[in-house]
Amino acid sequence: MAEKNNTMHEKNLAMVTATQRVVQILVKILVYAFLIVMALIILFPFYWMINSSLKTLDEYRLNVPTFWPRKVIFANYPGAFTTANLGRLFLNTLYVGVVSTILSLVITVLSAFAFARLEFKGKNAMFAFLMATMMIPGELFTITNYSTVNTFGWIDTYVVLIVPFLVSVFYIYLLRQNFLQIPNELYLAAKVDGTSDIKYLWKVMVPLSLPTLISITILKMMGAWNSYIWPRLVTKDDAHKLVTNGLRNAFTASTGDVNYPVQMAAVAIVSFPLFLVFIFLRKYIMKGVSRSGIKG
Amino acid sequence: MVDSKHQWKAWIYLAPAVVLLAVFTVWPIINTVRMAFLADYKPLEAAGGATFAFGIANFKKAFAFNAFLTCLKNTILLCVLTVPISTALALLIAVALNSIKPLQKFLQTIFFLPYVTNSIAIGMVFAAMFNIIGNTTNLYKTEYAIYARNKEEQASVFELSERDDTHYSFVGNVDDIYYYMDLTTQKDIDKCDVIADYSGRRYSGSSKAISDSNVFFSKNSNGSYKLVATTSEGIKYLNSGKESSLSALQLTSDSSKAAEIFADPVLNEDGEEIGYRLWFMQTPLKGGDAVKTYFTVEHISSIASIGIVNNLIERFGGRRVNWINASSSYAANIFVMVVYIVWNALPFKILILMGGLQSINKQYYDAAKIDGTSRRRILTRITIPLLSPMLAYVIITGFIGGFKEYTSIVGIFGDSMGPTGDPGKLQTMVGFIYDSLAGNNYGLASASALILFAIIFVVTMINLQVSKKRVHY
Repeated sequence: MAEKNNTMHEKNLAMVTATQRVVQILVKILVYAFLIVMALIILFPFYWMINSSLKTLDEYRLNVPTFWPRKVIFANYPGAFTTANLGRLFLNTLYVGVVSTILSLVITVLSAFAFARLEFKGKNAMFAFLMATMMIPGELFTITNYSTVNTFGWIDTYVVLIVPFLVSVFYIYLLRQNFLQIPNELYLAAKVDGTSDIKYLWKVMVPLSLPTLISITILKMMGAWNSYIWPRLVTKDDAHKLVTNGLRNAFTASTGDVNYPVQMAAVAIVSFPLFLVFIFLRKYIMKGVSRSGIKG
Repeated sequence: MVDSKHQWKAWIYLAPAVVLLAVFTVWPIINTVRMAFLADYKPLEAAGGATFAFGIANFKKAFAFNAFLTCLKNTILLCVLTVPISTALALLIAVALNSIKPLQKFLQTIFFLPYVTNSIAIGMVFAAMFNIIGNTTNLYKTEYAIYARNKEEQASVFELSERDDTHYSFVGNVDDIYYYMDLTTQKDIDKCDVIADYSGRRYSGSSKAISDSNVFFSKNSNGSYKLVATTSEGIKYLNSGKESSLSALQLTSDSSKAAEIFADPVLNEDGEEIGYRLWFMQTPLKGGDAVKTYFTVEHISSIASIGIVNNLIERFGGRRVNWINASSSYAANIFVMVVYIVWNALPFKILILMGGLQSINKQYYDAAKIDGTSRRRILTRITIPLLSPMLAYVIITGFIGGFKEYTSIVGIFGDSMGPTGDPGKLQTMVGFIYDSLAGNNYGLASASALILFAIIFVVTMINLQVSKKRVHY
């Protein structure tokens, strides 16, 4: 009797786990379906950009769109490159990006070191004040900065695109936190050995905080690549325009009967370097972003 | 401990940062506040020795500006719509992502992809997806090209002679007979019975004009049509007989003599229906067997492409919408902006929430499993409370970002910040500040920036207060 009961119980249990398993599998399928549908929605604009950029204008204007070009043409790419003068814009952006990144890194490393390792009067008060400035929206600075660079006569120069944004309180904060994690004993030992601060900074601190520095570099470069508002304000001539401004200016019309294949080719060319950076430095970008929350 | 040598050294290290911060961060804070309270402040005039009244004139001016209120409304609306949607969606995606093993890394990478984009460039892609190529004053309006031929292989094209918005006149010549067709286009020709909606006039070359008549097709019970004209002489029917020596087509008042007209769909090379070919049997003037006479009514849409989003909507049985083109509605514009901003905001939120989810101690879930807690309960009682600091963070940064929305609108609508013919319709606070600045209106720009700062500050404080009560640390 007891044995029979037992087997009954086991049978019930087996049924319960079986239904549970079915439910589990169904939920899994639903979860995957949801994620894949969302992923497709996320990817769709990229696909549409590439698809459109490879079409002829006639094919693009078809009443019923084709989901892959009937005839793949690449002519839109050189077309876009010359229409938007992308070569010049790339060089400008690269120049501004590289110079401002290097200078910014130097300044950030030096100040983070001062805040992390050196002692001076008013250090904490100053640091707190700098942190407080992070709350203020950038637009508030921009207004006066625009007037300042006008006074300096910096309009239409590279300087105006580089200098006002060299110091980022956030980067100083980020790097200082990183420096603070490096044991002070290393610093004291270096002092005993008679190593100079600069040498210690360069040989020990910088290599140890390389991931943070790489994150800063990427965010800074992406910033130059994506910046739009400030360059638009302070560059009137084409010689100093950055890539985003050039793109928007070359294709002023975004709606109506625009030559979209060429426009999409230009967008693809501008997006491509970012994807390349993303593919190779995904880890650093995601780490940097999760700590900053700053876009570009 | 602090000796003077170190002090001096520290300041050397800090010197470049301090100088730049003083000029480009500290001074702006002071100066912008100062300019905000000086009525219509302009630096150039100030340098010339002009003085400005101190007070809140700039703020008053900002709130009196219609444009400013539009910007305020747009900004707040976009914020209120996008932050909850993107946060909820990001939470769903993050929880789903966290619950799977295979493909997790791959999908996570895809979901992060919109972050590494240029918001102006990808905005242009979104614009292309929603854009309609063609005349959007009436989305369903179609233009008709009238071809008339009395032999199938000899098509004679009626050329457009006049047109305005609802009215098209065509002149054509078939076998030395001139046809003058007048069309009023209102409805889609896609449905057969709509053909009856056009009125027309016909001239024959011999000046035997039937003027000021309304000619239309009426459907016979067997599916064929007859051409009916209402003229000053009453109702007339198209007759294919040979009463006239000049005209191939004649009107008769005898309904029984009306020609039976048939409609065949006209397909293009892709097999799509592009119009109808109307034909009837006509007795030749010289006598003999009746031959087929054709009229081809082919519609050419005034819209070349409705955009992929509308294509998909129509594929699933919906109606096309004028999203972003001239004379598009505000709701449609905002919808497009919400879609784009949410698409753009998801990656950051998913990243942060995923980080939070992965740091939740697995023991909570194991305990819940033993207790047989339902999925929904696990989500609302364990996951969300333990994730609340991250949620508060993404909501606060979402609001801050939302109040500074600008480039995503430039991406879609261009510098005009609105659809064609309606610039500034979607202008935001940040855009207003820059426009004032570009217009050399420093006082107004500063006051607006302070208002923006105040809004962000208040909203952040409210968020922090709410999260103090709700967030479980």
